[in-house]
This record gives sequence, structure tokens and C-alpha cells, in this order.
Amino acid sequence: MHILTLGLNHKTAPVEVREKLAFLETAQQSALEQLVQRYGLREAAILSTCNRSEIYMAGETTATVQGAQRFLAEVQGVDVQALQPHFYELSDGDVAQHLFSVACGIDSLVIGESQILKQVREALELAQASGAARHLLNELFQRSLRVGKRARTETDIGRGQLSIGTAAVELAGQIFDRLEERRALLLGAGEMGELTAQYLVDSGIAELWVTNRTQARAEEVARRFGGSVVPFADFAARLEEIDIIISSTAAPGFVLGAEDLRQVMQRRRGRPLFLIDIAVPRDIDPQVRRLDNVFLFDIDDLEQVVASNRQDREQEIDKVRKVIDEELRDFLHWFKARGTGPLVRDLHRHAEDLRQVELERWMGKLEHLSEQDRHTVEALLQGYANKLLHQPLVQIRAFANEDEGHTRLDTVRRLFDLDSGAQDKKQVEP
Amino acid sequence: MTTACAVTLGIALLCYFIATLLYQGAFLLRRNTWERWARKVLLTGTGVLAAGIGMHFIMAGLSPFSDVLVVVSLVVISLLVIGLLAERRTRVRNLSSMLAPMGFFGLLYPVLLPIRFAEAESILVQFPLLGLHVLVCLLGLVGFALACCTAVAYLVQVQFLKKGRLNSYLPALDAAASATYHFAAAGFSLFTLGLGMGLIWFFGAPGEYLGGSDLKIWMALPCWAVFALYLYLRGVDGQHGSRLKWLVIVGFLLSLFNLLGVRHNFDPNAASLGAGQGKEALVLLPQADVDARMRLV
Repeated sequence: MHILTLGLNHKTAPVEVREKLAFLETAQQSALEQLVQRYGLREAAILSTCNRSEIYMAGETTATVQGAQRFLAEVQGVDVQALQPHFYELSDGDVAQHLFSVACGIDSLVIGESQILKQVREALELAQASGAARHLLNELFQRSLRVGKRARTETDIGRGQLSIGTAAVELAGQIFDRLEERRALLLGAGEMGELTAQYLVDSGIAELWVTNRTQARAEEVARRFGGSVVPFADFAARLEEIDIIISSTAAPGFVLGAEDLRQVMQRRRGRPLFLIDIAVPRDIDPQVRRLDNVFLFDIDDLEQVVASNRQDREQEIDKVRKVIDEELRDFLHWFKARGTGPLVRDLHRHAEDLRQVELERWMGKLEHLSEQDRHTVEALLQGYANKLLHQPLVQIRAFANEDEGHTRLDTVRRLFDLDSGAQDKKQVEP
Repeated sequence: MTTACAVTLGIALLCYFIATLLYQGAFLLRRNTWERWARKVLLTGTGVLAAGIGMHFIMAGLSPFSDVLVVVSLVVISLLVIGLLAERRTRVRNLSSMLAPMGFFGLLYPVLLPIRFAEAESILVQFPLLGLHVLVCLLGLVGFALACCTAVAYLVQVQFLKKGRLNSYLPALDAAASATYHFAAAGFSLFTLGLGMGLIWFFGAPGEYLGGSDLKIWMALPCWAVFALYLYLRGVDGQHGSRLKWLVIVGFLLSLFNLLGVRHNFDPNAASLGAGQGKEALVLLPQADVDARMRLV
């Protein structure tokens, strides 16, 4: 049995294609049931997010993929042939590697995002609930969740991608341990300044004050953020009460000079002050950097932080790949070894069935034999079967550790026609 | 020192060295896994060292003051245990990255430059108040060491921020500043208490204390004064900033010099020096003093 994936994602398909294939959360359970019951898949799981729609399957290669394609055409109403260039089909090791990468967030649009791990878990839970995920997919998904967690704890991939706004919040977190005890001032009402203020408010800042030359504009912004307004003429006198200043005015010169802030810092007794100057031309005199415990970041500084973060994250991808490789080796070992047990069992059963058939066929002609002789004949046949199977069984165990072992195991199954025998038996059983 | 103690000391030194390298690697190369391993190695080293000291006490029946290495080991264990607990309970992240080298060099110093501590055991056991004085002062030193670590973390973080770089490995400035203040306050309280005990013992001690020129005594005063000044400026005057952190570092260096830079000698021959004064003498003085006085005699 193989594991397979048929899907598309943000790298292979534009949004207008992706939306055609998106599975509604409420419809996923019935889709899974149909995939297993009507389209011949032994196991199935659906991972459907805004950036990807993937069907994970377990079964025989051709029949399984064809079944999934028929399902997409008949149930989802998708023209599979027309969309063929957008699809990718993966099998066995490639499926595991792909799902591990997805769970780690390195296949996401926003590298390292954590939402995907939750979505993988939900996909598994849904497949389990509908009985579509059994031994194979259950193991694959559980392992992918483990890889995803490992990637986020052992590397910095999950630290999140920084924008100018989030970089400002991250920097504020390096200065102030608890933002919920800090007060920020939004000076001016530029778009970028408001965005940064929004991030600060979202991260739980205690209070936001807004000041603007136009009082009405300040009131409007303050209302939106649940902050309070400080008259523009008064803000300088109240700077000692503020820990973070976001400045984005349209003033042609400096709004805050070094001397102003030196006096403010004296009144603050040297408590740290974080200044974010997003205005161009700048609002805050860069000389303030020389003041102890004053940390000024202008737009270039913030962009540098963002760029540096991006480089760090690219380095993190390599680290994540190492984690994936480790887990993939482990999974493939399990996957290859998984087929040997049932195969050995089926071979023994096959040999036993043949022995029984031959005994039944010949026993009529051997009625003259005593009970003891009859047992001897049975033992002779048993010994013969065991000796005949000995070498194949040794080889089967060796195949389990080879790269293409599962293909060889399939060949053994075909040689002995084990699957049809098992199916015949299933049909006979009530 | 017992053989078991020496072996465990060696293992602990190796662990602290490896932990130091791993922490530096984690910081410079940004490898989270190394940091976790470093912490495990550091804990292992501390556990082994504690086991060695335990064997020293229980199996050999020796006192904590029987060897300077044991005393330093106890200081290092206290430092690491308190530091690791603080790291776990507070937001002072990766404090142990500074404690590891401190533990390593702290243990290495008495190994490479053995301080004479002869006869100390009998004196310290004979006079429990003196023993307690030493113990409390050492715990004060642990507080100063932790304050120094967080002050260094603060200053390094300031440098990163001033250069416009984001460093999430080090603690936030105000977390580091708050930890510095609390460690320094705890260390200062213990150190002051220890000095008080020393003074009480000193005035009630039999014999004549010949350490008028004892550098150790005089070095304790500037150390105490520096931390007193820091606590006043931070706690009473409400000041913040980098300069205060430098004060803490200077104070710790003074206390370190006081502990390791001054030769301690519990001189067994001192009885003869004090005997002329009509008292049974007990002295605690630098080797240079002993030599000078012996020449005079």
C-alpha cells in the first residue's frame, strides 16, 4: 500500500483556481466518507486552507489517484483535466516530506506561520472522526505534527515574519518587559504611524495617547484605538509620562530635538524611552541617540531590522530541513518495515491454505494409511512449505531496509497472488 | 580535598567549559538547540559538583571550610542554582549563559592559583560566628555576581538597540534592570549582615587581631560603599540607566578582588605573636603581614 497526495497550493495555482477546490469545513466529513466508501480509497484526509487544498490518500497508486480525481470531478465539480497543470501528485517518501514541510510552515506563504500546524491537526481529527484515517495516515499526520512542534521549538522559524509595525513591537519588547504597563504617544497621524500604533494596541499596551495639529483628526484616531487625546501644544510637557513615541507627522523639520529630550530624560530619571520615527522627513533629531537610555529607530532602522529578520529566517529554513530529514528517515524506516509483518503472515496463510487443499485432495487416495502415517504426511507437507518459504522470508526482511523495499514487497505479493487471495477470502467471509 | 571531590570538581569544570562554549555558540550562531544542551550540561556539572561536595562532607567527614576549593564550589553551586531558578521564574532569559563562564572561571581560579587556607577549618569550626560571617558574606557575593550578570546583559542589550539591532536572546532592558536591583539589594543585605557578624566576632575574639593593615578588611569597605551608592541612586533617588549598571560591575569586581585577590592566611603560629599581649591569639591576616611580623619578631 502507498501513501499519495493530490493537491495544489499557492505556489502552483492562483487564488481563482484554489477557491474552486477549497473544501468547506462543514463538507469535509462527508467528502472523506465518500472518498473511502465510493471512490475506493483505503484511507483519506483533506487539508484545505486558503493557500492549499490537498487530499492525502492510502491505497494502490493508479486506482487511488484516479479515484480522487473522479471525486473532484463528480462531487466538487472541478474540471480536473483543465486544472491538471496546477496539480501535484506525490507518493510515499515525497508525501511525508511534503507534509512535514507544510507542518513546519516552510511551505506556507508566510514562512513559519503557526496556524498551519493547527490546520494539520484539525485535518487529522476530522479524518479520524469520519473513520477515513487509519493506521497509515494517522501515523503520517501524527509524525508531521511532531515535526512541526520540533521545528518551532528547536529553531526560530516560528518567530513570525516582521513588518515595519511588528518590528517596532518586537523592539519595544526588547526594552520593556511588559507592554501592558507602558504608555505610548502617537504623534501625528500618518498611515504607517497608525498601523504601528495598531500593533502596539494589539499587543496590549496600557494606554495610547494621540496628538495632532488638527484636533479633530486626533480625536478620530483616538476613538478608533480607544485612546485619549493630548492637545498638540501640551504634548512636550507630558513626555516624561510616556515610554513609547510613534512619530509620523508631515512637519518639514524636527518636532523633537536633542535638548528637549535631554531635559525629558532628566525628569524621567533615566527611564528608557523608545522612539519610532516613521516620518520622512524625520521628526526626531538623530542626535538623541547619544542620550543614555533613549532608543531611536527611524524608517531605515526598522527596514534594516525587517531585512535582518528575513535573512535569519532563511537560515532557519535550513535548520528546519535538517529536522525534517531526521524525522523523514525515521518515518521511512517505519513505512518500509510496516509491510513485512502482514506479508509474512499472508505468506504463511497462503502456504497453509495450499497444504490444506492438497491434503483434502489426496486424503481419499490415502485412506489405507494409519493415523500415524497420515500425521507424518501432514508434517512432511508442513516441513516442505516451511523450507520453501524460509529464503523468501529472509529476503523480505532484508527488503524492508532497502530504499525501494516496498516495491519489492509488492512484487512478492504479486508473485504469490496474495491480495486476490485475501480479497476472495473477504468475499467468502460473512 | 578527597579524591572523589577532586574528580567531581574536574568533571564540573569540564561541564562548565562545554556549557560556556555552547552558550557562546548559541548566542553567536543563533542555535536554540545548543542553548538547551548548554543548560543541560550546566545542570549536570552543578549536580556532579554538589554530589562531590556531599561526599566530601558525609564520607570524609570534613567541614565546608576544610578547603578553599570546597568553599568556592559552594559559592558556585549557590550562584548557579539561584541563577537558574531566577531564569526559570522571571523574564531574565538566558541568564545562565553568563553564569556558565562565571562558574568555570570561579572554579578554575583556586585550582590554578591555590589560596592558602591552612588551619582555617579548626578556627572556623571553633568560632561558629566567624564561620557564619564567612558563609553570609559569600552568599552576599553570590547576589553581587548575579547582579553583575544581569547588569552586563543590560549593557549588551543597550549596545544592540543603539546599533538598531533586534536581539531576542538577551532579556528586555527593564527585566534586566529590575533583576540587577533585586540581586544587588539581596547581596548587599547579606554582605552587610556578614560584615556585622565579622565585626561582632572581631571585638569579642580572643587575642589580638593583627590585621590592621589587612587589605581584605579595607577592600570590603569600598565594595560595600559602591553597592550602597547604587542602591541609594536606584532605590531612593529613582535613577535608571547604563551608568548605574557600571557601578554594579565595579562593585562586583571589588568584591571579587576582596575574595580572590587578597591572600588569606589563618596562621597557626600567630599564637606566639598574640601571646605577649596576654591573650590567646587567633589571627586572620594576609601572608605579607605574617612574613613582616615574623621578621620583626
